[in-house]
Amino acid sequence: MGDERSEPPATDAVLVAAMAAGSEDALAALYDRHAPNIHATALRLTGDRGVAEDVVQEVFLTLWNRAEQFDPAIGSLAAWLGSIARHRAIDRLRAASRRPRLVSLGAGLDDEPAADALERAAARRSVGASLGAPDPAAALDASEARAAIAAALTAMPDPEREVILLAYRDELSQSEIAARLGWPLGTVKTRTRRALARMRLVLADVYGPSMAPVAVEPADDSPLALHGSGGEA
Amino acid sequence: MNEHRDAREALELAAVEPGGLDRLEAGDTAEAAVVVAHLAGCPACLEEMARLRRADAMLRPILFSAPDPALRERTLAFVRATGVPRGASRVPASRVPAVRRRAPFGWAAALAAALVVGLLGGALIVRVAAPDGNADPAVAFDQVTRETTALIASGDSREVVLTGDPGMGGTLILSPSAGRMVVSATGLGTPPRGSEYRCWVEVNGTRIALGAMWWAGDVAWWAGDVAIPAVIPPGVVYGVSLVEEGAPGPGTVVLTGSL
Repeated sequence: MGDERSEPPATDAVLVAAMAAGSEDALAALYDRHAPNIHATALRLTGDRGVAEDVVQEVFLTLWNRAEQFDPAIGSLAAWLGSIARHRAIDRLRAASRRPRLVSLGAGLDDEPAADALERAAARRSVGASLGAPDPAAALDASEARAAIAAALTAMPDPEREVILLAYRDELSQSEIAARLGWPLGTVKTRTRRALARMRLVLADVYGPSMAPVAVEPADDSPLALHGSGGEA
Repeated sequence: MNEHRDAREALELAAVEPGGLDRLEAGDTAEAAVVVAHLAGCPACLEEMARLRRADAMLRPILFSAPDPALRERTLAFVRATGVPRGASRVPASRVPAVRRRAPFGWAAALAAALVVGLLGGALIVRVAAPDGNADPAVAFDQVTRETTALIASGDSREVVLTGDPGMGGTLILSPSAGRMVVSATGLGTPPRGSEYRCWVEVNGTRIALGAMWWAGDVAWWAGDVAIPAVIPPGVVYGVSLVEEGAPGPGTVVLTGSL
Protein backbone atom coordinates (compact mmCIF):
# COMPACT_ATOMS: atom_id res chain seq x y z
CA MET A 1 0.00 0.00 0.00
CA GLY A 2 1.54 3.28 -0.98
CA ASP A 3 1.58 6.50 0.88
CA GLU A 4 -1.88 7.93 0.46
CA ARG A 5 -0.86 11.43 1.42
CA SER A 6 -0.72 13.58 -1.64
CA GLU A 7 0.58 17.00 -2.46
CA PRO A 8 -2.08 19.69 -2.67
CA PRO A 9 -2.78 20.55 -6.27
CA ALA A 10 -0.62 23.29 -7.67
CA THR A 11 -2.32 26.64 -8.01
CA ASP A 12 -3.02 28.12 -11.41
CA ALA A 13 -0.36 30.73 -10.79
CA VAL A 14 2.25 28.07 -10.09
CA LEU A 15 1.28 26.10 -13.17
CA VAL A 16 1.30 29.17 -15.39
CA ALA A 17 4.75 30.09 -14.14
CA ALA A 18 5.97 26.57 -14.83
CA MET A 19 4.40 26.67 -18.26
CA ALA A 20 6.07 29.99 -19.00
CA ALA A 21 9.35 28.29 -18.22
CA GLY A 22 8.54 25.69 -20.86
CA SER A 23 6.78 22.94 -18.95
CA GLU A 24 4.36 21.09 -21.17
CA ASP A 25 3.24 19.08 -18.16
CA ALA A 26 2.04 22.31 -16.61
CA LEU A 27 0.20 23.14 -19.80
CA ALA A 28 -1.44 19.71 -19.72
CA ALA A 29 -2.46 20.20 -16.09
CA LEU A 30 -3.99 23.56 -16.94
CA TYR A 31 -5.81 21.94 -19.84
CA ASP A 32 -7.25 19.28 -17.56
CA ARG A 33 -8.40 21.91 -15.12
CA HIS A 34 -9.88 24.48 -17.50
CA ALA A 35 -10.62 22.90 -20.88
CA PRO A 36 -14.01 21.44 -19.91
CA ASN A 37 -15.37 24.87 -18.97
CA ILE A 38 -13.83 26.55 -21.99
CA HIS A 39 -15.30 23.92 -24.28
CA ALA A 40 -18.69 24.21 -22.61
CA THR A 41 -18.64 27.98 -22.99
CA ALA A 42 -17.67 27.80 -26.65
CA LEU A 43 -20.22 25.09 -27.37
CA ARG A 44 -22.94 27.03 -25.59
CA LEU A 45 -22.19 30.12 -27.65
CA THR A 46 -21.65 28.51 -31.02
CA GLY A 47 -23.68 25.31 -30.89
CA ASP A 48 -20.97 23.73 -33.03
CA ARG A 49 -18.62 21.12 -31.61
CA GLY A 50 -16.02 21.69 -34.32
CA VAL A 51 -15.88 25.41 -33.68
CA ALA A 52 -15.82 24.82 -29.93
CA GLU A 53 -12.79 22.58 -30.35
CA ASP A 54 -11.06 25.23 -32.44
CA VAL A 55 -11.75 27.76 -29.72
CA VAL A 56 -10.25 25.49 -27.08
CA GLN A 57 -7.09 25.13 -29.14
CA GLU A 58 -6.84 28.87 -29.70
CA VAL A 59 -7.37 29.65 -26.03
CA PHE A 60 -4.57 27.36 -24.93
CA LEU A 61 -2.29 28.67 -27.65
CA THR A 62 -2.98 32.17 -26.35
CA LEU A 63 -2.31 31.04 -22.81
CA TRP A 64 0.99 29.51 -23.85
CA ASN A 65 2.07 32.53 -25.87
CA ARG A 66 1.00 35.14 -23.33
CA ALA A 67 1.61 33.36 -20.04
CA GLU A 68 3.58 36.30 -18.68
CA GLN A 69 0.53 38.51 -18.91
CA PHE A 70 -1.43 36.49 -16.38
CA ASP A 71 -1.50 38.27 -13.03
CA PRO A 72 -3.42 36.41 -10.32
CA ALA A 73 -3.69 39.68 -8.38
CA ILE A 74 -5.91 41.06 -11.12
CA GLY A 75 -8.21 38.12 -11.66
CA SER A 76 -8.50 34.36 -11.82
CA LEU A 77 -7.11 32.33 -14.67
CA ALA A 78 -10.55 30.84 -15.24
CA ALA A 79 -12.00 34.30 -15.76
CA TRP A 80 -9.19 35.30 -18.11
CA LEU A 81 -9.46 32.14 -20.19
CA GLY A 82 -13.24 32.40 -20.19
CA SER A 83 -13.02 35.92 -21.55
CA ILE A 84 -10.66 34.84 -24.32
CA ALA A 85 -12.94 31.91 -25.13
CA ARG A 86 -16.01 34.10 -25.39
CA HIS A 87 -14.29 36.56 -27.68
CA ARG A 88 -12.88 33.83 -29.88
CA ALA A 89 -16.24 32.07 -30.09
CA ILE A 90 -18.05 35.25 -31.00
CA ASP A 91 -15.42 36.13 -33.57
CA ARG A 92 -15.82 32.69 -35.05
CA LEU A 93 -19.53 33.13 -35.30
CA ARG A 94 -19.14 36.45 -37.01
CA ALA A 95 -16.43 35.25 -39.32
CA ALA A 96 -18.47 32.24 -40.29
CA SER A 97 -21.60 34.31 -40.72
CA ARG A 98 -23.53 31.67 -38.88
CA ARG A 99 -26.10 34.18 -37.80
CA PRO A 100 -27.13 37.62 -38.92
CA ARG A 101 -25.29 40.36 -37.15
CA LEU A 102 -27.15 42.22 -34.46
CA VAL A 103 -25.74 45.44 -35.80
CA SER A 104 -28.27 48.09 -36.68
CA LEU A 105 -27.10 51.10 -38.57
CA GLY A 106 -30.34 52.88 -37.81
CA ALA A 107 -30.73 55.70 -35.35
CA GLY A 108 -31.24 55.25 -31.61
CA LEU A 109 -28.62 52.66 -31.00
CA ASP A 110 -29.42 51.50 -27.54
CA ASP A 111 -28.75 47.87 -28.38
CA GLU A 112 -26.90 45.92 -25.77
CA PRO A 113 -23.45 44.86 -26.86
CA ALA A 114 -23.70 42.04 -29.34
CA ALA A 115 -21.55 39.80 -27.19
CA ASP A 116 -23.87 40.23 -24.23
CA ALA A 117 -26.93 39.57 -26.35
CA LEU A 118 -25.33 36.48 -27.77
CA GLU A 119 -24.43 35.20 -24.34
CA ARG A 120 -27.91 35.84 -23.07
CA ALA A 121 -29.48 34.06 -26.00
CA ALA A 122 -27.11 31.16 -25.62
CA ALA A 123 -27.88 30.88 -21.93
CA ARG A 124 -31.57 30.63 -22.70
CA ARG A 125 -31.07 27.69 -25.01
CA SER A 126 -28.33 26.09 -22.99
CA VAL A 127 -29.01 22.58 -21.86
CA GLY A 128 -26.86 23.26 -18.85
CA ALA A 129 -28.19 26.69 -18.06
CA SER A 130 -28.47 25.83 -14.42
CA LEU A 131 -24.73 25.30 -14.34
CA GLY A 132 -24.22 28.86 -15.35
CA ALA A 133 -26.09 30.17 -12.34
CA PRO A 134 -24.64 33.35 -10.88
CA ASP A 135 -24.20 31.72 -7.46
CA PRO A 136 -20.38 31.65 -7.12
CA ALA A 137 -20.40 28.52 -4.98
CA ALA A 138 -22.60 26.70 -7.46
CA ALA A 139 -20.44 27.89 -10.32
CA LEU A 140 -17.34 26.67 -8.54
CA ASP A 141 -18.93 23.28 -7.92
CA ALA A 142 -20.03 23.07 -11.53
CA SER A 143 -16.55 23.94 -12.70
CA GLU A 144 -15.04 21.36 -10.40
CA ALA A 145 -17.57 18.77 -11.53
CA ARG A 146 -16.82 19.43 -15.19
CA ALA A 147 -13.11 19.00 -14.64
CA ALA A 148 -13.62 15.87 -12.55
CA ILE A 149 -15.99 14.32 -15.07
CA ALA A 150 -13.60 15.11 -17.90
CA ALA A 151 -10.76 13.50 -15.98
CA ALA A 152 -12.89 10.45 -15.25
CA LEU A 153 -13.82 10.18 -18.91
CA THR A 154 -10.20 10.26 -19.91
CA ALA A 155 -9.28 7.63 -17.34
CA MET A 156 -12.12 5.17 -17.92
CA PRO A 157 -11.82 2.18 -20.26
CA ASP A 158 -12.48 3.08 -23.88
CA PRO A 159 -15.63 0.92 -24.25
CA GLU A 160 -17.25 2.51 -21.22
CA ARG A 161 -16.37 6.01 -22.35
CA GLU A 162 -17.75 5.26 -25.78
CA VAL A 163 -21.13 4.11 -24.56
CA ILE A 164 -21.62 6.86 -21.99
CA LEU A 165 -20.81 9.56 -24.53
CA LEU A 166 -23.07 8.04 -27.14
CA ALA A 167 -25.83 7.92 -24.55
CA TYR A 168 -25.46 11.42 -23.16
CA ARG A 169 -23.82 13.43 -25.91
CA ASP A 170 -25.44 11.84 -28.93
CA GLU A 171 -28.56 10.85 -26.99
CA LEU A 172 -28.70 7.37 -28.49
CA SER A 173 -30.78 4.64 -26.90
CA GLN A 174 -29.18 1.42 -25.72
CA SER A 175 -30.42 -0.39 -28.81
CA GLU A 176 -29.08 2.33 -31.07
CA ILE A 177 -25.69 2.19 -29.38
CA ALA A 178 -25.63 -1.57 -29.80
CA ALA A 179 -26.42 -1.20 -33.47
CA ARG A 180 -23.88 1.59 -33.92
CA LEU A 181 -21.05 -0.30 -32.27
CA GLY A 182 -22.04 -3.79 -33.29
CA TRP A 183 -22.04 -4.98 -29.70
CA PRO A 184 -24.60 -7.25 -28.02
CA LEU A 185 -27.26 -5.24 -26.24
CA GLY A 186 -26.37 -6.86 -22.92
CA THR A 187 -22.76 -5.72 -23.27
CA VAL A 188 -23.87 -2.18 -23.98
CA LYS A 189 -26.09 -2.19 -20.90
CA THR A 190 -23.38 -3.53 -18.64
CA ARG A 191 -20.82 -1.00 -19.84
CA THR A 192 -23.31 1.81 -19.60
CA ARG A 193 -24.11 0.96 -16.00
CA ARG A 194 -20.45 0.77 -15.08
CA ALA A 195 -19.72 4.10 -16.69
CA LEU A 196 -22.73 5.68 -15.03
CA ALA A 197 -21.63 4.40 -11.65
CA ARG A 198 -18.19 5.92 -12.15
CA MET A 199 -19.76 9.23 -13.03
CA ARG A 200 -21.99 9.14 -9.96
CA LEU A 201 -19.02 8.53 -7.70
CA VAL A 202 -17.29 11.54 -9.24
CA LEU A 203 -20.39 13.64 -8.62
CA ALA A 204 -20.55 12.35 -5.06
CA ASP A 205 -17.01 13.61 -4.48
CA VAL A 206 -18.09 17.09 -5.54
CA TYR A 207 -21.68 17.35 -4.36
CA GLY A 208 -21.86 14.83 -1.55
CA PRO A 209 -23.13 11.31 -0.96
CA SER A 210 -26.65 12.07 -2.13
CA MET A 211 -25.32 11.58 -5.65
CA ALA A 212 -23.91 8.13 -4.94
CA PRO A 213 -25.83 4.88 -5.43
CA VAL A 214 -27.89 3.77 -2.45
CA ALA A 215 -26.22 0.90 -0.68
CA VAL A 216 -27.84 -2.41 -1.45
CA GLU A 217 -28.75 -5.09 1.04
CA PRO A 218 -25.91 -7.44 1.91
CA ALA A 219 -27.71 -10.40 0.44
CA ASP A 220 -28.27 -8.58 -2.78
CA ASP A 221 -25.89 -9.61 -5.52
CA SER A 222 -26.56 -6.43 -7.40
CA PRO A 223 -24.05 -5.55 -10.07
CA LEU A 224 -24.02 -2.05 -8.57
CA ALA A 225 -20.82 -3.09 -6.83
CA LEU A 226 -18.84 -1.57 -9.60
CA HIS A 227 -15.51 -1.69 -7.93
CA GLY A 228 -15.76 -5.44 -8.04
CA SER A 229 -15.06 -7.61 -11.01
CA GLY A 230 -18.56 -7.95 -12.33
CA GLY A 231 -18.58 -9.85 -15.54
CA GLU A 232 -20.00 -8.60 -18.77
CA ALA A 233 -23.10 -9.87 -20.44
CA MET B 1 -34.64 -13.41 -9.59
CA ASN B 2 -33.76 -10.43 -7.47
CA GLU B 3 -36.26 -7.58 -7.47
CA HIS B 4 -33.79 -5.00 -6.16
CA ARG B 5 -31.24 -5.90 -8.78
CA ASP B 6 -33.72 -5.90 -11.61
CA ALA B 7 -35.31 -2.65 -10.49
CA ARG B 8 -31.99 -0.90 -10.21
CA GLU B 9 -30.82 -2.10 -13.56
CA ALA B 10 -34.01 -0.80 -15.09
CA LEU B 11 -33.66 2.50 -13.24
CA GLU B 12 -30.05 3.05 -14.27
CA LEU B 13 -30.65 2.23 -17.89
CA ALA B 14 -33.70 4.47 -17.94
CA ALA B 15 -31.73 7.30 -16.33
CA VAL B 16 -29.25 7.59 -19.18
CA GLU B 17 -31.99 8.19 -21.74
CA PRO B 18 -33.63 11.61 -21.91
CA GLY B 19 -36.92 11.35 -20.03
CA GLY B 20 -36.27 7.70 -19.41
CA LEU B 21 -37.09 7.75 -15.71
CA ASP B 22 -40.37 9.54 -16.39
CA ARG B 23 -41.33 6.91 -18.93
CA LEU B 24 -40.38 4.12 -16.56
CA GLU B 25 -42.32 5.68 -13.71
CA ALA B 26 -45.38 5.93 -15.92
CA GLY B 27 -45.46 2.15 -15.92
CA ASP B 28 -46.72 1.92 -19.45
CA THR B 29 -44.96 -1.31 -20.31
CA ALA B 30 -45.06 -4.66 -18.55
CA GLU B 31 -41.44 -4.28 -17.41
CA ALA B 32 -42.06 -0.73 -16.22
CA ALA B 33 -45.16 -1.83 -14.33
CA VAL B 34 -43.13 -4.42 -12.44
CA VAL B 35 -40.56 -1.79 -11.48
CA VAL B 36 -43.25 0.67 -10.39
CA ALA B 37 -44.84 -2.00 -8.24
CA HIS B 38 -41.48 -2.72 -6.66
CA LEU B 39 -40.81 0.95 -5.99
CA ALA B 40 -44.13 1.27 -4.18
CA GLY B 41 -42.90 -1.07 -1.50
CA CYS B 42 -39.16 -0.42 -1.50
CA PRO B 43 -37.94 2.86 0.04
CA ALA B 44 -34.33 2.05 -0.84
CA CYS B 45 -35.02 1.71 -4.56
CA LEU B 46 -37.27 4.76 -4.43
CA GLU B 47 -34.39 6.71 -2.92
CA GLU B 48 -32.11 5.29 -5.60
CA MET B 49 -34.42 6.66 -8.27
CA ALA B 50 -34.35 10.08 -6.60
CA ARG B 51 -30.57 10.01 -6.54
CA LEU B 52 -30.43 8.98 -10.16
CA ARG B 53 -32.62 11.96 -11.02
CA ARG B 54 -30.29 14.31 -9.16
CA ALA B 55 -27.23 12.80 -10.73
CA ASP B 56 -28.76 12.94 -14.18
CA ALA B 57 -29.65 16.60 -13.78
CA MET B 58 -25.98 17.36 -13.15
CA LEU B 59 -24.47 14.80 -15.46
CA ARG B 60 -26.47 15.40 -18.61
CA PRO B 61 -25.36 18.99 -19.31
CA ILE B 62 -21.79 18.20 -18.34
CA LEU B 63 -21.49 15.17 -20.58
CA PHE B 64 -23.41 16.86 -23.36
CA SER B 65 -20.79 19.59 -23.49
CA ALA B 66 -17.78 17.49 -22.53
CA PRO B 67 -14.86 17.86 -24.91
CA ASP B 68 -13.77 14.90 -26.95
CA PRO B 69 -11.05 13.22 -24.84
CA ALA B 70 -8.85 13.16 -27.95
CA LEU B 71 -8.96 16.96 -28.05
CA ARG B 72 -6.46 17.06 -25.21
CA GLU B 73 -3.64 15.55 -27.22
CA ARG B 74 -4.61 17.52 -30.32
CA THR B 75 -4.48 20.76 -28.36
CA LEU B 76 -1.15 20.01 -26.74
CA ALA B 77 0.26 19.06 -30.13
CA PHE B 78 -1.14 22.23 -31.68
CA VAL B 79 0.46 24.41 -29.02
CA ARG B 80 3.70 22.48 -29.29
CA ALA B 81 3.79 23.01 -33.03
CA THR B 82 2.69 26.62 -33.26
CA GLY B 83 3.36 28.26 -29.90
CA VAL B 84 6.25 30.55 -29.13
CA PRO B 85 9.45 28.72 -28.22
CA ARG B 86 9.90 28.30 -24.50
CA GLY B 87 12.42 26.63 -22.27
CA ALA B 88 11.56 23.02 -22.95
CA SER B 89 12.79 21.32 -26.05
CA ARG B 90 10.46 21.62 -28.98
CA VAL B 91 9.07 18.81 -31.02
CA PRO B 92 9.50 19.29 -34.76
CA ALA B 93 6.20 19.99 -36.43
CA SER B 94 6.70 16.98 -38.65
CA ARG B 95 6.31 14.77 -35.59
CA VAL B 96 3.13 16.39 -34.44
CA PRO B 97 0.02 14.32 -35.00
CA ALA B 98 -2.58 15.69 -37.33
CA VAL B 99 -4.49 18.52 -35.75
CA ARG B 100 -8.07 18.89 -36.85
CA ARG B 101 -8.47 22.59 -37.13
CA ARG B 102 -9.12 25.10 -39.79
CA ALA B 103 -6.13 26.61 -41.52
CA PRO B 104 -7.42 29.89 -42.87
CA PHE B 105 -4.15 31.05 -44.30
CA GLY B 106 -3.52 28.09 -46.52
CA TRP B 107 -5.43 29.57 -49.38
CA ALA B 108 -4.81 33.17 -48.43
CA ALA B 109 -1.68 33.70 -50.47
CA ALA B 110 -3.50 33.38 -53.75
CA LEU B 111 -6.27 35.59 -52.46
CA ALA B 112 -3.79 38.17 -51.17
CA ALA B 113 -2.13 38.46 -54.54
CA ALA B 114 -5.48 39.03 -56.18
CA LEU B 115 -6.42 41.60 -53.56
CA VAL B 116 -3.25 43.58 -54.05
CA VAL B 117 -3.76 43.67 -57.79
CA GLY B 118 -7.37 44.65 -57.39
CA LEU B 119 -6.71 47.37 -54.84
CA LEU B 120 -3.80 48.83 -56.73
CA GLY B 121 -5.98 48.90 -59.78
CA GLY B 122 -8.48 51.01 -57.90
CA ALA B 123 -11.22 48.44 -58.03
CA LEU B 124 -12.66 46.61 -55.09
CA ILE B 125 -12.79 42.96 -55.93
CA VAL B 126 -13.24 41.48 -52.50
CA ARG B 127 -16.34 39.74 -51.38
CA VAL B 128 -15.04 37.09 -49.07
CA ALA B 129 -17.30 34.52 -47.60
CA ALA B 130 -16.49 33.19 -44.21
CA PRO B 131 -12.99 31.79 -44.56
CA ASP B 132 -13.31 28.07 -44.60
CA GLY B 133 -10.13 26.19 -43.90
CA ASN B 134 -11.51 23.18 -45.62
CA ALA B 135 -11.52 24.99 -48.91
CA ASP B 136 -8.49 24.75 -51.12
CA PRO B 137 -7.11 27.94 -52.67
CA ALA B 138 -8.80 27.46 -56.00
CA VAL B 139 -12.18 26.84 -54.44
CA ALA B 140 -11.80 29.79 -52.09
CA PHE B 141 -10.79 32.15 -54.88
CA ASP B 142 -13.67 30.99 -57.01
CA GLN B 143 -15.98 31.63 -54.08
CA VAL B 144 -14.59 35.14 -53.65
CA THR B 145 -15.03 35.92 -57.30
CA ARG B 146 -18.60 34.70 -57.43
CA GLU B 147 -19.60 36.54 -54.28
CA THR B 148 -17.95 39.75 -55.45
CA THR B 149 -19.83 39.57 -58.70
CA ALA B 150 -23.08 38.98 -56.86
CA LEU B 151 -22.50 41.93 -54.54
CA ILE B 152 -21.84 44.32 -57.37
CA ALA B 153 -24.87 42.96 -59.17
CA SER B 154 -27.05 43.82 -56.19
CA GLY B 155 -27.25 47.34 -57.59
CA ASP B 156 -27.23 49.13 -54.25
CA SER B 157 -23.68 48.55 -53.09
CA ARG B 158 -21.93 51.50 -51.48
CA GLU B 159 -18.22 52.05 -51.03
CA VAL B 160 -16.38 53.66 -48.12
CA VAL B 161 -12.76 54.69 -48.44
CA LEU B 162 -10.78 53.98 -45.29
CA THR B 163 -7.73 56.11 -44.58
CA GLY B 164 -4.98 56.08 -42.00
CA ASP B 165 -1.29 56.79 -41.77
CA PRO B 166 0.63 57.18 -45.03
CA GLY B 167 0.88 53.88 -46.80
CA MET B 168 -2.24 52.49 -45.16
CA GLY B 169 -5.60 52.32 -46.86
CA GLY B 170 -8.67 50.26 -47.28
CA THR B 171 -12.11 49.96 -48.70
CA LEU B 172 -15.41 48.90 -47.26
CA ILE B 173 -18.24 47.87 -49.48
CA LEU B 174 -21.75 47.17 -48.28
CA SER B 175 -25.03 46.24 -49.82
CA PRO B 176 -28.33 46.77 -47.97
CA SER B 177 -30.21 44.38 -50.20
CA ALA B 178 -27.60 41.65 -49.80
CA GLY B 179 -27.11 42.40 -46.11
CA ARG B 180 -23.41 41.94 -46.52
CA MET B 181 -20.35 43.98 -45.77
CA VAL B 182 -16.77 43.49 -46.87
CA VAL B 183 -13.73 45.27 -45.52
CA SER B 184 -10.28 45.06 -47.05
CA ALA B 185 -7.10 46.92 -46.22
CA THR B 186 -3.49 47.11 -47.28
CA GLY B 187 -0.37 48.56 -45.75
CA LEU B 188 -1.29 47.61 -42.20
CA GLY B 189 1.47 45.08 -41.92
CA THR B 190 1.36 41.75 -40.21
CA PRO B 191 -0.27 42.16 -36.80
CA PRO B 192 2.16 41.62 -33.91
CA ARG B 193 1.93 38.21 -32.30
CA GLY B 194 -1.00 38.18 -29.92
CA SER B 195 -2.80 40.98 -31.76
CA GLU B 196 -5.24 41.16 -34.62
CA TYR B 197 -7.02 43.66 -36.79
CA ARG B 198 -10.70 44.12 -36.10
CA CYS B 199 -13.17 46.10 -38.11
CA TRP B 200 -16.06 48.01 -36.58
CA VAL B 201 -18.92 50.37 -37.18
CA GLU B 202 -19.63 53.41 -35.02
CA VAL B 203 -23.17 54.73 -34.88
CA ASN B 204 -24.14 57.68 -32.71
CA GLY B 205 -20.87 57.36 -30.86
CA THR B 206 -21.36 53.67 -30.08
CA ARG B 207 -18.76 51.39 -31.60
CA ILE B 208 -19.89 47.93 -32.64
CA ALA B 209 -17.31 45.29 -33.41
CA LEU B 210 -17.83 43.40 -36.64
CA GLY B 211 -15.12 40.82 -36.27
CA ALA B 212 -11.49 39.90 -36.51
CA MET B 213 -9.96 40.30 -39.92
CA TRP B 214 -8.15 37.62 -41.79
CA TRP B 215 -4.79 38.63 -43.12
CA ALA B 216 -2.10 37.40 -45.43
CA GLY B 217 1.02 39.27 -46.29
CA ASP B 218 0.08 42.92 -46.59
CA VAL B 219 -3.65 42.42 -46.90
CA ALA B 220 -6.33 42.16 -44.23
CA TRP B 221 -10.00 41.54 -44.89
CA TRP B 222 -13.30 40.69 -43.30
CA ALA B 223 -16.73 39.86 -44.66
CA GLY B 224 -19.99 39.01 -43.02
CA ASP B 225 -23.72 39.51 -42.78
CA VAL B 226 -24.83 42.86 -41.44
CA ALA B 227 -28.35 44.23 -41.14
CA ILE B 228 -28.08 47.41 -43.20
CA PRO B 229 -30.99 49.82 -43.65
CA ALA B 230 -31.77 50.97 -47.16
CA VAL B 231 -31.10 54.54 -46.09
CA ILE B 232 -27.95 54.72 -44.03
CA PRO B 233 -28.10 57.58 -41.54
CA PRO B 234 -25.39 60.22 -41.65
CA GLY B 235 -22.58 60.15 -39.18
CA VAL B 236 -21.87 56.44 -39.35
CA VAL B 237 -18.12 55.84 -39.11
CA TYR B 238 -16.40 52.69 -40.24
CA GLY B 239 -12.95 51.63 -39.18
CA VAL B 240 -10.27 49.10 -38.39
CA SER B 241 -8.33 48.81 -35.14
CA LEU B 242 -5.36 46.82 -33.99
CA VAL B 243 -6.50 44.94 -30.90
CA GLU B 244 -4.80 42.56 -28.55
CA GLU B 245 -6.36 39.13 -28.95
CA GLY B 246 -8.91 38.35 -26.30
CA ALA B 247 -8.87 41.91 -25.02
CA PRO B 248 -12.23 43.66 -24.89
CA GLY B 249 -10.77 47.17 -25.27
CA PRO B 250 -11.02 49.34 -28.38
CA GLY B 251 -7.40 48.93 -29.37
CA THR B 252 -5.59 51.35 -31.67
CA VAL B 253 -7.54 52.78 -34.57
CA VAL B 254 -5.58 52.40 -37.80
CA LEU B 255 -8.21 53.18 -40.45
CA THR B 256 -11.44 55.15 -40.51
CA GLY B 257 -13.87 56.41 -43.13
CA SER B 258 -17.46 57.32 -43.77
CA LEU B 259 -19.84 57.58 -46.67
